[in-house]
Amino acid sequence: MINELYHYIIITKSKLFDRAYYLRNYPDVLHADVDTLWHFIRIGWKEGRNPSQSFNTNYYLNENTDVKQANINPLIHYIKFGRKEGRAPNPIPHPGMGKYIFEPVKSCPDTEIPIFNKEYIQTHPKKLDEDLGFEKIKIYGSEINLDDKSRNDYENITLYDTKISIIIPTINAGDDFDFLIKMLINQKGFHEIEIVIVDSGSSDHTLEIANRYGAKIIEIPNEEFSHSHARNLGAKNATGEYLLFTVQDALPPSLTWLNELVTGLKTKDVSAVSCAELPRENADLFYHVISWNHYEFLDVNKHDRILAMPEEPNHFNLRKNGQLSDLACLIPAELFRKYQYRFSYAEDLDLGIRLIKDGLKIAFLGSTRIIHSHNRPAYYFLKRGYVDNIFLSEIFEDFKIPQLKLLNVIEDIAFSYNFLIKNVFTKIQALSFPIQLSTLHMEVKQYLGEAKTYPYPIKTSYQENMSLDPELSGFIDIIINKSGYTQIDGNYQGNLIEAMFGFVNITFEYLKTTHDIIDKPFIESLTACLTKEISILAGAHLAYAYINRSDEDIELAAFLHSILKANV
Amino acid sequence: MKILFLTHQFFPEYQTGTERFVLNNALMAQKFGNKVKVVTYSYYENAFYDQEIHGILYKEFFYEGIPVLAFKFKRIPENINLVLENKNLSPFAKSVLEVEAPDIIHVGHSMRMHEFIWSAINLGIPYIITSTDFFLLCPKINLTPDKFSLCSGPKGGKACAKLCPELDRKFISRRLEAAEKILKNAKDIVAPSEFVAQIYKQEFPILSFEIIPHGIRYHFIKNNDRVYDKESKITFGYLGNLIYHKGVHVLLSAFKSIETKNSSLKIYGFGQQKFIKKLKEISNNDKRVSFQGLFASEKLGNVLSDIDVLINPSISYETYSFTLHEALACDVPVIASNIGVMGEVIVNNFNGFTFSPGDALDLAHRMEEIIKNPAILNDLKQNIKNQITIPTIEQEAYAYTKLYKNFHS
Repeated sequence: MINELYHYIIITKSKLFDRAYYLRNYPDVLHADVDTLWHFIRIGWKEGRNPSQSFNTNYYLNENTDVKQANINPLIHYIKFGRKEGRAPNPIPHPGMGKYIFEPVKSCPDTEIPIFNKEYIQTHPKKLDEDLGFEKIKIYGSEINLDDKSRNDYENITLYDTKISIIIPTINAGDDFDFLIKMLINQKGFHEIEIVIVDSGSSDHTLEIANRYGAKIIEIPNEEFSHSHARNLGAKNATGEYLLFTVQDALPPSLTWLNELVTGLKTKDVSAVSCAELPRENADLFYHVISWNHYEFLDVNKHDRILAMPEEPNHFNLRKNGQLSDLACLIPAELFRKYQYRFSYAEDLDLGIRLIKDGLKIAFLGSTRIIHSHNRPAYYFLKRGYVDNIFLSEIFEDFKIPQLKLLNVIEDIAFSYNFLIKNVFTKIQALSFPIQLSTLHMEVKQYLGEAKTYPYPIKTSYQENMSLDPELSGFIDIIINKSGYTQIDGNYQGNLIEAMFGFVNITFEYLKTTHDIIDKPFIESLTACLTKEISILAGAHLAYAYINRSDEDIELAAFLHSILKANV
Repeated sequence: MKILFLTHQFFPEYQTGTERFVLNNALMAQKFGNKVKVVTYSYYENAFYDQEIHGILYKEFFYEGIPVLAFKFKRIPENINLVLENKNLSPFAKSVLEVEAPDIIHVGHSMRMHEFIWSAINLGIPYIITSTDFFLLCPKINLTPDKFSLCSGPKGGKACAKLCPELDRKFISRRLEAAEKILKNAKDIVAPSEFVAQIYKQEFPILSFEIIPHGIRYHFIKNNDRVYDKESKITFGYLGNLIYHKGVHVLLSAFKSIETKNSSLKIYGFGQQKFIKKLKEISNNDKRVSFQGLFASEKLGNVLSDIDVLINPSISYETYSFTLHEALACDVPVIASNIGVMGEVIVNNFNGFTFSPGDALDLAHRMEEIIKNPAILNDLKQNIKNQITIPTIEQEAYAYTKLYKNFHS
């Protein structure tokens, strides 16, 4: 008790304890209604709580193992010894310190004229009034005229005397669906907006919400659903002159969004128009990277593009010039009915390519966007990488398939996840933060380069030993066991890590648009992103191996194909 | 594009509505592919800062992944919260703008930050202003001449001379000139509500405002789908700071006057112990009233699911009110003072009720109407659900992104 009292006095005198900070950051202390400094001295520091913004308890203990081992209050140590010894109370200074350099002005008064009317203040001393008042509030001055409206987005829009049908395939669309429908039916500038829902078996409030807003509802059995069929059915039942295809988890960013699409269609004189997406607030880094990279590929990050048949119609040019997106695809109803959607996958790209092949133009807008993103686990992206590449090989004859063998790809997968987690991620986490983005990029590339001399892992359970999403680690265990993988002697012979260099460069190119300096908490996002990147690559490589399957691995390839094609 | 956000105070030191607005937009601007930095005045103890130059202390750190430059004067000028210029800050502000080289500046709150605006004008850096309160019109910030009154703007200083005679006339006149210059040089001026825009336009009719309501973070939102009958017990709720001008004392006084066991009142928020003690004295151990303290932001949906009617009893102008809009986003009706944005957003018998500010009796009548006939809430909730759209932070940031792009070559 005497010791605690002594600490109380020392800390109070030091002025290094900030009661307001403590209460703000630790509301349980506020509820407990105890003296904040007593709380810090008796319990708080042991729980790693900080006495103020300027002293980081855990940092001090971790950096000064003598203090940690002695089990003494780190703030007391800092006040009595650490400060004199030059020990830092907080993490290392921010990069770029001292960059603001200037010559001071000759000291000026705060203001050249008096602020207060001294004469009035002297004759009207301030009343000490601590009572709460219970009077009606008097409002001086004129009434505020709220009818004199300020500018808004939709005062200058073009009005279209037309009917738009919005077609949305649904299944258990969730609570956000209400907001989506409300935003759609309130879009400005149209004679009429019709909502057509094609539902394949919702058991939540989806149909109730659709009914409440007067949507036309078409119900189909779940097994009848395909992306093309549902949308074609919606189109068949739509009565508008224009069709807008969108999805149940998108959100228009404004009430003029649809008007911008229609204006785009008409002014650019194109047969169909789509727009880019804008990830939601909780979208992860991986989603931002792939979304940004996709729009870099389409060249719509900075402007809109009108797309037409390329001179050289290879798969690269056709994808770059034939892209429509079901997140938002506006097309005249009559034209759509001639073409309709085909396939169970990438039906939007297929439609775009058919339109441009027939000499029509389409547009992809980067200046107008729709809010949409998914946070999906790494395993989803492994499957996505697989399905995308199978699809591309099926529809583009010139799509080049690397000659890979399934067993080698599985060895590569076993190596790559282990190498990334154990070597690359561990070393990234051990760096000093904050760190310049360019330095971090160099470090990551260096750690990846160490693959050449890193050993293949012994056969192990990824589900038990790796911090991966359970479905992904379960899948890796399955392919390792089915393939009969054993540890390989010698240096790494795979392709996945080499491919990762490309993805890492894309990631850092994206980060260059948003960051100069990276702080430590961001690293969790980065490693999660890299895990999804290796997964999408692993999926692609499994697809290449499937396409190159031979008698020796045909059963295993068929087994993996059945797993990886499901539910994407 | 690089966007520099200016604000008079910021997280984690201060956490009011303006700080939320700045944080939300900085986060979203970064997510939309821009570089961002928040530059803020601050009041940390001197040991917090790791740099000092010519009497200015500063430190850079991250908050939720957003780079922040926090600075303060080592010797804090006496009138720093009142004036619109301070030449001693000018070289620092100029240096920061030259080093950071933003493409555009977004002013979230100009108090203590004006030298950055004057430097931006001199350096030709475009800026937009969001008027989150009335600071550029009123040194007292919220148009409150005294505890029991509100005014409707300075009227060229004439209203100040009459209602706030303690302020020097020349100071007010010069301050208004500076404010007009700051506003006129902005590439765009935005208000979160029509009410704010109209107050400014009364003073400076030449100005043109764009209305961009603040967005809210929807992943904290949860629909309150309770259905009411004549027997339903009603829980009223207050969410916000426990400070005088929020009018919680009026709410407690109103509730105390209602004799019913069929309702309760939950008060969420934080304030000075001395003030909370006074509030508790008013409630006088009324077991129907509970002080719930603070709650984590991710619990917002749960908190609003536990209350049937939100009460906003503010006795000063609110320019937006996040909690009012969050309640509506959760389909919770609101009783609010009929001033400021509340009078603009809350419509009697449509999405809630309004009452005369500071009038506990009027508020009590409104609460009693609901206690006696809880089923009236069903219609209000349906109206809110079907007809009111509160923007998300993505939608708000999208609107701002369009503005930034207009002024970025």
